[in-house]
Amino acid sequence: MTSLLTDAEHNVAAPSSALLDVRNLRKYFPIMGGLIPRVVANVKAVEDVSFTVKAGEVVGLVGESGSGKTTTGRALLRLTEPTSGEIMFDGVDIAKVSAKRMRDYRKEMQIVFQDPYASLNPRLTVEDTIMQAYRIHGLWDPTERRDRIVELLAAVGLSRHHLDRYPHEFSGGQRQRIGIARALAVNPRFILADEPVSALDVSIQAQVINLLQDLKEQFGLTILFIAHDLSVVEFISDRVIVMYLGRIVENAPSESLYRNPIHPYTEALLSAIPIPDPEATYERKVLEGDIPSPINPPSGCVFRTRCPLATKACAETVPVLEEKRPGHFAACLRR
Amino acid sequence: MTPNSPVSFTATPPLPSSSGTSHLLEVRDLKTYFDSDAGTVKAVDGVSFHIDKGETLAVVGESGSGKSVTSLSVMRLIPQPPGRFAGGRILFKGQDLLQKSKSEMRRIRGNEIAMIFQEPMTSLNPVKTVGHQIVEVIRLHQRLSAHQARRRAIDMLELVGIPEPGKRIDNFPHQMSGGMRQRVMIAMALSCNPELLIADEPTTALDVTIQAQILELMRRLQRELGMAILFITHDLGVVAEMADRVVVMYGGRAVEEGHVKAIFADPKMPYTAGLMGSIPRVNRDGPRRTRLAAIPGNVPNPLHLPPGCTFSNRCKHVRETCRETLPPLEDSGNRHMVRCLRWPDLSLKQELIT
Repeated sequence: MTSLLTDAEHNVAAPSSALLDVRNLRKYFPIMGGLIPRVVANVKAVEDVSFTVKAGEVVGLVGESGSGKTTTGRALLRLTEPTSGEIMFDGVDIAKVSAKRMRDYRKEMQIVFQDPYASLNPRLTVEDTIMQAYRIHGLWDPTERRDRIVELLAAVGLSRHHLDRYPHEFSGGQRQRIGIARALAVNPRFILADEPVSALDVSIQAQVINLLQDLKEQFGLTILFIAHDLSVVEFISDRVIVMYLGRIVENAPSESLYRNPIHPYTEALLSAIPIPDPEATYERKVLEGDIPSPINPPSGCVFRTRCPLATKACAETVPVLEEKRPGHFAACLRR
Repeated sequence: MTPNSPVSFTATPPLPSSSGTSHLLEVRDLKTYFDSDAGTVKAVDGVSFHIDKGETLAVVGESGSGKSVTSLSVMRLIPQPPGRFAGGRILFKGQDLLQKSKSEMRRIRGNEIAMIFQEPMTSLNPVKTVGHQIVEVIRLHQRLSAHQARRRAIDMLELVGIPEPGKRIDNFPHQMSGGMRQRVMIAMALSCNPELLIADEPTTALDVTIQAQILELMRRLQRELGMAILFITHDLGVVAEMADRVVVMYGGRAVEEGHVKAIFADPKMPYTAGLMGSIPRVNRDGPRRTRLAAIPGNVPNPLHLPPGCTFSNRCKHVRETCRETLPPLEDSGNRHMVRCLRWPDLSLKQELIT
């Protein structure tokens, strides 16, 4: 089953301009048990995931809890070690490089975390927080760096006055701006934004999404934007990938995905978003049940237990991610 | 301590209905303050609204707007100190809950007014089975034998759509998914047939597909059981789906109130309009938007609220007077209440379209 998926995926993976090319990524978390502890089962958090991110592109990675989106992101930066698969970053398989070499790559690949309260050191001022990013990567130059930090703060909408302040003096939105400034400090080529606005209020969410949009244009950033909800990523993403239970079910340009989703799960996910219009008349497709356990995922298509279109064949064959329309990939036997 | 305090609220027009006791719940000029070393936080500062039988009222606002403190005040779940009720009345079926003794409140809570919370994991006891917890509520308020109460608990689990309720009743909370736990919370809340259900962000911690299930369940149960719902949320999408009427809160005050259709079609307060502009809404037909209309700035520090309109430091329609004068909550017609000095001059509806 894996070889099929690889072949199909290689069609997408072909463009040489891909900055990031992920092939057959897997991440299993072993469950130990027994008198003499041994692996009795695996939590298959990420199962055979392949996709590419081109330079300058913003890709949204969307899925609900347990879909494996965060684990995928963390595995890309090797914050958790992938079980198998290749992560080609600019032509080098960083899944295979030594931990020491990986440090150099971390300069190129930065992360913005979900919780701006937990991801900043409460004892460091804004200046120290950003300075640390330079220090760790051996880029610290006391004479010019202060100006550079001020420039960075200006780029994320903060100012010189904020340099000596501590995280507790800032609101959630401002903290997220600090987190973004820290990620940008070392001039990364790739940014992993792991639910950067989920913890923020709606009006602040909009500010941060707009900011990322501006920074993308200003610095030509390549971003993988992880979110649990399709509404947040629409504005910023060129391409959106939808995951379910560790697998990619759909991968398409934004326009095509939102207007004409192919996979029934994407459809359900879109239909589940409450529409802020009391006059709206539409038929909601409410999915029944819960996401199954990743320890023992359903055979065949992992979505079949909740899918309105499922047939017997869906239990037998693992659907391959195929190009159903130009540039629009989906893994479904029925569509 | 600030120039805005008590006088300004006399400007609030008396609600035409406030004379009668026909409303199920009526909150009048509620003030819930918290005393701290740094000063008094006026978390809720003069909020009034009412809910009728079988109706859903949504209270919408962002963090720090005072929406949760309002709901906890109705349940009298505000820890005192540091909290205190600095004024106002909470009339439930004509009786002021703020005057009730602790034991009287205990009889009302869970029985006539029930509440469900945002985090179903932390609001259930992890070391007791869900059945135990539902039975406890039932037997506290109703004269039923242990056996009858268990039967009732199983019926409730079935009502909220839990498969195999006879088995699931003996599950511990950790054996259930987030959506299932929220169903258990709802079953527990409704087990004594309350007339008012307070739902404080009941779907915020859930995935969208599970949220859709829970919202559908709540609508069905309201149809079948006829309870009124006070729905606290920050999500205007959820408001549009659930509410009959809406109260928009900002900085501890109600800034707009009206029927859900009127609020969405013709918002009169710049904050409400700003909130609508900043929702990333998936528009499956129209052209793709690439920018959101964000509201600049941050929610003001509750210790140092601006003396005039609390939204003045973020409002793009602000005038000098807005910073000095606290606007009253006025009726703009058809009981669509607005707290804004400039509402007659503004055409926010137009702005939202463009």
